Amino acid sequence: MGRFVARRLVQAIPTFFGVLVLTFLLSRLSPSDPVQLMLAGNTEVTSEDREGLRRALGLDQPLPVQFFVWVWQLAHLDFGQSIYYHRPALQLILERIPNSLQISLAALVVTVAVGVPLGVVAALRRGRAEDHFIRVFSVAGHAIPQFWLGLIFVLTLAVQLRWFPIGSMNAVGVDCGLCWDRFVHLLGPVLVISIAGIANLPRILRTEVLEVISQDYVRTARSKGLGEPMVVAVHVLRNALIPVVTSFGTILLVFFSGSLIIERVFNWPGLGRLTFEAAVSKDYPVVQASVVISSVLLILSYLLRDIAYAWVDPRIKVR
Amino acid sequence: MRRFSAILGVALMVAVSCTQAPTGTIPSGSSAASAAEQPQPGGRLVLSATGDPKTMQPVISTDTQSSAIWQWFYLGLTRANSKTGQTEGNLAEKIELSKDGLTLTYTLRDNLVWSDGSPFTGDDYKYTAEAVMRSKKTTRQSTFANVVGAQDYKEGKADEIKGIQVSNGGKTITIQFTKVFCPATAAMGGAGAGGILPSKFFKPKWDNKSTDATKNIDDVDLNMNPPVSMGPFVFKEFKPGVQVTMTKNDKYFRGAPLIDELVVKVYADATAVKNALVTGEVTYAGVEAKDYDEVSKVDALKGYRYKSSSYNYIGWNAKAAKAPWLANKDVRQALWYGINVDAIMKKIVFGLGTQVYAHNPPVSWAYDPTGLTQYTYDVAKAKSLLEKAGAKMGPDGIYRWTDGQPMKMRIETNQGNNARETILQFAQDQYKQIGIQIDPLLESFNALLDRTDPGTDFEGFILGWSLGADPDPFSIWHSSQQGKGQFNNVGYVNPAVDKALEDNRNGPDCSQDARKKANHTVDLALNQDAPYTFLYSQDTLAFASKQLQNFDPNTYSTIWNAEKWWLKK
Repeated sequence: MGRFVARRLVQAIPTFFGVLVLTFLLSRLSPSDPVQLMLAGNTEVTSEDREGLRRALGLDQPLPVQFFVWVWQLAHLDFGQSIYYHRPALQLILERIPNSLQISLAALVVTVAVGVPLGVVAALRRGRAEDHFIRVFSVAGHAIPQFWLGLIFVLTLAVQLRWFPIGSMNAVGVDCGLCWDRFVHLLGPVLVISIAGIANLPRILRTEVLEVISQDYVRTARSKGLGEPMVVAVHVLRNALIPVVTSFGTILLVFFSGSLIIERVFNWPGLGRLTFEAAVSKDYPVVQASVVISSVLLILSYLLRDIAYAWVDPRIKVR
Repeated sequence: MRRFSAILGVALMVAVSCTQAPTGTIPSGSSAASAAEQPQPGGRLVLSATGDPKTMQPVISTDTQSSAIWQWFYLGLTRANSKTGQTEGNLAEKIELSKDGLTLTYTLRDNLVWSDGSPFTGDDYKYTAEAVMRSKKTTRQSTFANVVGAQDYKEGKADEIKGIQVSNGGKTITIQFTKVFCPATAAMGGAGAGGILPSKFFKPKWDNKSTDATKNIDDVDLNMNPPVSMGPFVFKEFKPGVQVTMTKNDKYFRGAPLIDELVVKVYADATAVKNALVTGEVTYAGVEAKDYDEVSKVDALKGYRYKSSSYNYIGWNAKAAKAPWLANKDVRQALWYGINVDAIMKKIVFGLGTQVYAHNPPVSWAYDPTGLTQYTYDVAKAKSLLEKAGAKMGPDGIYRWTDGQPMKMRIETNQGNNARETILQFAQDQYKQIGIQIDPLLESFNALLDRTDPGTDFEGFILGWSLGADPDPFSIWHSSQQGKGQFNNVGYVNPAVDKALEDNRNGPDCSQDARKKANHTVDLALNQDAPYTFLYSQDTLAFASKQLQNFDPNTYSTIWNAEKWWLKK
């Protein structure tokens, strides 16, 4: 197992380097520079003062120099200073990660808690009303873009009906993490993100359960006289979950990219919103740091997935 | 139009009867009655921002989200009058500019103290000015271009700015200039930065009494943690992405505010702000014209409307290689007559604005309408001007320029700006009627700025200016300002305008009358030369909770009387 992990880590290095180059180039592809954006139309600022600022931020250097300066800093775990915030990019990101994790983890829990039973029900009751209903839900959940769902949620349930807050982590004047107020504020974004996962999970699980259920060992279990719940939980589900675990990597990805938009719609002060705003205002160090950190997390989550894969299915020898 | 509420009805009537309304605010309901009531102290006020403050320190601040925060605790010696934009005393009680225009003297008010009780003195002012000169991230150094000794200090050749002297126990600040610079009284009041820092707290972090020019204030931790306040509110806490919280300053020199706590909450965008306003989360906020209808239906809100010092325009590049006709004044005038600005205004801002005919906006004290041609939509006149310029109608209904090429050109603007996109549609349709074919281009704001930089080949573009209180259009219209990154991107050259712009800056007569005259010369020339098709100045629309009393936002300041605001229960 140790060798397997080590090899996967080594394999991740070229991926990581590719991410570095792409992030750097993509963030600089579009024309103008951050200083121009920052001071757009501010006629009181002379061109000398603009040049001075550009120099202070290191933006007057040629691109290859900027790239190597950045990689050199990264090698020292220095993510650079935000162009706008005059603060270390890493600090800005670390401030936001816990906020994003709250949504992602809650959405993951909801997805599994709702998606797995739905998948099993769809398989066991295949061809009946429940199955059709779940299938329609799956298709709809897939087809509706998250941002749209989020906007509709805010406009109808929050602005019109006032059942939910319009966004943010807490009401103004409330400051708590584990409380009813936070729970109410989490509901919207978590529901919207979960729906995409819930739409996905039962489809995969249904196919798998149907395949496993006709296996010999399931028939054996039944003939041993085991009760149906026991058969499903131990013999069917455990085997059917293998591909679900595989798809976890993808689900994590959905959470990452989904939260970028959902955090904006629900005004959630997370990493996604920070990254979005940094990208729009060309805050290169923040965009770069955010993408690099997200990539590392993603690469690690894939690794974890592979380990989990080996763990749930001992038949698969890690090669 | 009938769908609009009474607020708008009143607003429109006033706009028609006096286009130059000096009192910009049009309150609906009975604000006169509420003024007589006994104010109730206490409560929390929630404002909105569409982004975190990037810094809470004025020297390195470059964006409005940051200044919207530090304006509550760092003040200038002077401020712009909320209605007229004229410079008036703030922390300074008296402002004197010597006859030769080379010596500026500020006398501070008596007994000024920071929120911790320590005295505010001229040393705070000087410290801030020196912080600007040593900062690498500031964009304000040009303010001090004519101050004696500022450059020496910047380069570390001196341990102070010789031209700024503090005397009379810290109460008098004297500034020496090497040459006359009229906008100085406005710019100098804030020590270049806009707000003055508490030197007692900042000095241990960065010592100004030094010749080490490598050290500066740029990355001091107090930049995100303002220790004391001179303004109505004191910084309490910043939660990134969430809010800034402030509490009232009992020692504020205009009197302790009635409101206890001020929260500036951060929203992702203008739509989120509007939702917060409608649901009552935010006490007041500006509203885009397109949302006016929806927001004005909310009973709990009261509308405010005031003139803005900004305008939209179509710029014409006189040096355009592909559209040589833009160098011709008659053609540019034809382009002005050929567009129905009134219809555009009705469509985009529902008439909530003023048509403009020159650079200085009608709300400015430097504005004088005398002699300005009012270009009214006139297709026949536009065509006759084109023919006068030498254009001949082609068989396809498009004019041919003197060199035989069809008069086709591009107009570009930034995508996502509803108003500008609509102007572009109007321009395309209406210019076709006067025989000019427009090729519209929508692009990102970045790309637009880049493509319309001086020296780049482009034809027409739609943009807007948001102007400061001091009328100094030098950087936009002076013929010297056509370098990369500068603002005279339409290639405007007029020696008489150059002279007037220089007079407006360098006097030697810096009196308001003299500067108003200089600005009028500029406006008259721009009105005739038509380097832009000046369009309209949109009114600022704001809504506040009906609970909020004494709220009186104006063109140049929303918060000028914040200490008097109170919430009616």
